[in-house]
Amino acid sequence: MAAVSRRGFVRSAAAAAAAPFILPAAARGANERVGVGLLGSGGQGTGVMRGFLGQQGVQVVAVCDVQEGRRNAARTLVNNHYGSRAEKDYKGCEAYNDFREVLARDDVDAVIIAPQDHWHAIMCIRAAEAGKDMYCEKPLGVSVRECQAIRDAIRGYGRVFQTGTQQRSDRRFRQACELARNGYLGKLRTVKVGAPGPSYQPSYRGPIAPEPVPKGFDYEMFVGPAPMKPWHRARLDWPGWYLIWDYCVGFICNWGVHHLDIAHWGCPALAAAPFELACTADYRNLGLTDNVNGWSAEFAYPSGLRMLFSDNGHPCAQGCRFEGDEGWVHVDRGSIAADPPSLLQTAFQPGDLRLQHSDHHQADFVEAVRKRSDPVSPVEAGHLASYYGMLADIAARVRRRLRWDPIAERFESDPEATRLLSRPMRAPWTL
Amino acid sequence: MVSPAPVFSPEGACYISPGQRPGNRRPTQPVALKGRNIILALLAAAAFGATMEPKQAFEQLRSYDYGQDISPLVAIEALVDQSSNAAAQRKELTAQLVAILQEPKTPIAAKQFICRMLERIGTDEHVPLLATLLAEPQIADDARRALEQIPGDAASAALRDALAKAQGDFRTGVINSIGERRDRKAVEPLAKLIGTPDAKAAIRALGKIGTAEAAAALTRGRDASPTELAEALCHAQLRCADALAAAGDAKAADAIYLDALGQKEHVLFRIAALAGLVKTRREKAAPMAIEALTDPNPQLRGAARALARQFAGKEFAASLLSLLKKADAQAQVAIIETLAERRDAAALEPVTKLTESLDDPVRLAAIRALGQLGNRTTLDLLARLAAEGTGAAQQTAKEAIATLRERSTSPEMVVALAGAVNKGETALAVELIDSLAARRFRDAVPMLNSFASRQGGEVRLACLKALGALAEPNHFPFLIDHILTAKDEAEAKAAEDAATKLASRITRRTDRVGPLMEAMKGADAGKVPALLRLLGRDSGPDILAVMRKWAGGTHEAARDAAVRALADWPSDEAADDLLKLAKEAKEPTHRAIALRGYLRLAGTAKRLEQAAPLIKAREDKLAFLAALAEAREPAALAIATRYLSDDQVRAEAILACLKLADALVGTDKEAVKAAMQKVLDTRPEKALADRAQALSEGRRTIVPLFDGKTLSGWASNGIGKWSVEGAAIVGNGTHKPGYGILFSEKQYKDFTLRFKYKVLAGNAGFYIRAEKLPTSEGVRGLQVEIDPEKDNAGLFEVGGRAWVAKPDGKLPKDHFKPRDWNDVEVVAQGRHLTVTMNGHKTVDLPNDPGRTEGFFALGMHGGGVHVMFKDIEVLAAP
Repeated sequence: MAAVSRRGFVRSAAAAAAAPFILPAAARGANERVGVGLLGSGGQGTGVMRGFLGQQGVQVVAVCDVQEGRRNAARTLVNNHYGSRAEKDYKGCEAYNDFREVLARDDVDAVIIAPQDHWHAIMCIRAAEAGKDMYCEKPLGVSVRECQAIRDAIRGYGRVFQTGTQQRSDRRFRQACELARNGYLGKLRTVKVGAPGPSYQPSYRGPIAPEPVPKGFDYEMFVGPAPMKPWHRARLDWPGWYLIWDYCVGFICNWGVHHLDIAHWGCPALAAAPFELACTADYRNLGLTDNVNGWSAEFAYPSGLRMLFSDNGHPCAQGCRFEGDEGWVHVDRGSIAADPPSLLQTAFQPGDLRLQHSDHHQADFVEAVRKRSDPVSPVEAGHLASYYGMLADIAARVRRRLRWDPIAERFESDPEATRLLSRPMRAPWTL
Repeated sequence: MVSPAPVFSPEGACYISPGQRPGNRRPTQPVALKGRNIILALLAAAAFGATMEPKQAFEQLRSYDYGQDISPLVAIEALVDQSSNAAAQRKELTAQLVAILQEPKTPIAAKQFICRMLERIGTDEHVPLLATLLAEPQIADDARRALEQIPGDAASAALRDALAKAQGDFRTGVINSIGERRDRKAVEPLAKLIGTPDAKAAIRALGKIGTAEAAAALTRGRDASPTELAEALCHAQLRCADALAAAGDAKAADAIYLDALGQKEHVLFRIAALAGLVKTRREKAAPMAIEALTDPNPQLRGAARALARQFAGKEFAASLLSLLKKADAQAQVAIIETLAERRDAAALEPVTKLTESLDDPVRLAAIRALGQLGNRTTLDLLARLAAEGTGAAQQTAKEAIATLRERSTSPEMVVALAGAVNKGETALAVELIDSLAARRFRDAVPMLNSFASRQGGEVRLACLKALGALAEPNHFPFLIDHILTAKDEAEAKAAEDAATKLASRITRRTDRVGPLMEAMKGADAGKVPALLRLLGRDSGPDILAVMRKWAGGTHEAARDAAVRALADWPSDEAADDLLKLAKEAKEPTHRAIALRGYLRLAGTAKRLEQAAPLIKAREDKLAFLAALAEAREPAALAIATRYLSDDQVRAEAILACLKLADALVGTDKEAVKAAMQKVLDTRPEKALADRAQALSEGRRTIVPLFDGKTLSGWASNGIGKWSVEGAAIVGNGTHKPGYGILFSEKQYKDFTLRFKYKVLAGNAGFYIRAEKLPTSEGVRGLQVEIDPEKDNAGLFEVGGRAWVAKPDGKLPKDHFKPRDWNDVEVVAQGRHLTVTMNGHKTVDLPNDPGRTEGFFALGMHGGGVHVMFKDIEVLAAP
């Protein structure tokens, strides 16, 4: 019999429409235009911005980057998008070198903050003081002090703040956390978090002698609060800056933040009591790269709860895994597994805690801006997810078991570790 | 050698011991040293993976300059780490670093590094040296940053002293450091700077110091300063207030907050003030929060609502409720919303009353709130509103029911359903049935099945639909039964849809086919078509026999169903039946679809030849030629050449002959040559004539770039998932940063490229003349745009000029087929580029300045992409 393209069974779309979304309390302001500015139009920032371009009633009016080519390309992208469909009063998108000019615009209601990590805190705090809402890329900064300062500024000024931990807008992660939170795994014993680290290596392997600063690149502004060192393209060529201490704590924080965020979302006990922390790590030494390479950390709580956090495979597999007395669930991007497998068919009951439902991280933020409510990744969540990775790095450097109180937010008597909670900024920049 | 002291939990099992990690990983274990000799300790450090000997590291540090290997820096930082638990080692190490710092010949790069180490390990002992370095411009700021981190008065004094002579940005840095250190003794000198160019920095620093004196200095400053500073001063005062509140001085904090609250023009300060007052006064701040709830400014209202969530107690709810009666409409709406968010049970009754309010906004807010506040009895009221209300009220009531329902248990819903059916409340019953299906509450299946049998109308239809979603394989006979007992067309269709949905979930053939065959016995002829349609989803000799019987039978609808099922048959076991029907079926439509089915299944030239006498209409000829083109035998080529003389389909015949010739030229040269001669005799256009000529000389004209089975000839950049499914290359995106790119192995200069694509999600592209780059995109070059919605078949240069040619708005809508296969042809001759999609030209660039050669590549841009490519081929060079 000759094989012909098989006419398959039509997979029926099950009538499993999600339960109707709870109608927001304040519909007023639903049609007010939200003006958006992009600070940092590299790959990630532009990608995040694309998610805003499609939103109703949102207009990107300004882009900013210290590289002329990038900001011009972003501006072109925006103008082409709005092109013929712009409203009559849309004046087109402006391109800036200095983020402060964007913050000074009255028609900018919210900013996307996506420069290198060492700039996040200054931009967030200035944006808060300028009365802007913000979508801030993870992690919150390069030191615990910065994360705290951002948190305080956001809550102090009543700003709407979405952390760029977009996994919270993916149903699998929400499902895993709801299972963990509602006791379907039994009492939680261990949370295991794995994130990539050593798999990222610099693409540039040549000599690193200083080079002239390219035309159209404001290097002084790129460096900002980081130490000033002569320019070389290895500082920026992806993944360059992620691997350099001056601009980024390292993937223990910058990537770990994603699954640490899920860990906290599914197990709030991780931030509810003082814990002990120990970590081993090895550090990079290739070209200009010098931050953490691989690591293995353990957070131990008085109740017996533990969190293991490592780079992939050493020993934790990528993702977040909640293990309880009655089962476990392991979730990662694009996959979720559980034991017993039937856990994944669990239908939640009315008494169960349901986590905030978001299907699109940018849309969720825009709605929060209109309602003046918290988006799905609020600043406290970003703070916890960011600084736990930083604590692990500190523990690795001081090579001893540390005790941290997440409520008072301090170490128990460890002056050296305490010093490492903050990072001085190059003049004239400050928090 | 010293063995590492265990530092971790007793099991220690989760840690891999040092030697096992791959790659450039040199794990550093903590070393417990008590009174050991420093040399031994340093040797031990070397054994545990410092990249170089300490002695060598220090030597290299002495002359380290930018651009050199950073290994000595990394090694020394590792030594700093190691000495964390060995005071003597730390002391010695620090002394060595300080010595190098003091040597005049040490390059600035090395000094900068040492200052960074001193941020962590510097002590009072090092303050004097760092203080002198503050006067050396090249290293001053690095020295300042070291002082910033050294606790104690010595460092603070050094920074205060530096203020006198410091200038420019460095001066600002000194002020910043003083602020970060919260140096109380600096309040006075900083206050003096408020009237100077250093004002902003000084004000910020005072805000961080946050003492009562600092706050007082700022207040004095406000009275004396120009208005440009007013904002900065207020921000700093609020910071002081926060610090004072945290330190327990609620009274001082309060005073500042109240002042800020009164700043009518600056909503930001009012928000900050309100947040502060809620912290210091707690419940006593309730009246202020409530007042802010109804403020004209939406941001303040929003902040007030957010803060109101912090007041958990009943007193706050009581305050809100008492206000509710007196408030105007706008305020009532705000209060209702706050009560609803807080789920205050006490609010249910008053809010229920307000569903009768004469003010529309209030009424709607109340209805909406019932969704969050209500209980099962509320459902009756809402159902009545949903049924009898109009416009916004009705819509809101429906949404409130949905919200309320979310909070009901499924068993509660089943009880409610029984009640609704009993009372004949059809609308409510239908809503409950739909919700149960959405929740996948399978326990409801028996009741739904029973209602499907005993009830009629809307309820029966809703039950059937729900059963389609919820039923298990063993319920299949019941659903078939509903088909057989359906009273009218609507019921019959609903029953059939449900059975179809369930069938797609049944994995075993016997479970699917058995009940159907059983039902066929003695089924009323009017019901047979539905059963045939369900059977037609499977194949096999037993079902074929059934179809054959009904295809030749007398019942019209059944005949129709059977013929259609045969026409869609997945394997050629139906071929003979289809040929017979194509010749003999009564209805012309049946003859036509049977013919098409036969052509699809025939597969060989011999079989196709048997259909040749039936090919009359133009559409049939086209289908025939298409089928011939897939049958790669010389006999098929011979048949195809017959149509070269047919004016109706000459063009398609030429293409079919060429396609077959390309497939056969390797094995049947003579047959190809003869056929190509016939093609050339028709005097086709040049491009086709060239191809025919080449083929007649034994040369291939089409080079497939994709073999239909494997990714051979293509290489991924490591991001994204590429696979081959159903003779197509499928790309699924990931969330990793960067683009998922699949590059061709070879590079191409001038070409005529053809491919087909289908995109289901996300943005993608087909790159031409591209280059590989080590950037986050990984690729640079022109790409034919692929998008589920817009701009398809335009040319966009990634990593370059962005849009080079956006498709014209004047193109017909059907130039792009969403969620379907699209044909693209790209012609690149030198700098002349054209793109054609589904026969419509989308791009024509006569002189593009871009690259003139490069790779082809399939690209996924970002996460969540789902795109497919097939039939990728280039015309061979002439």
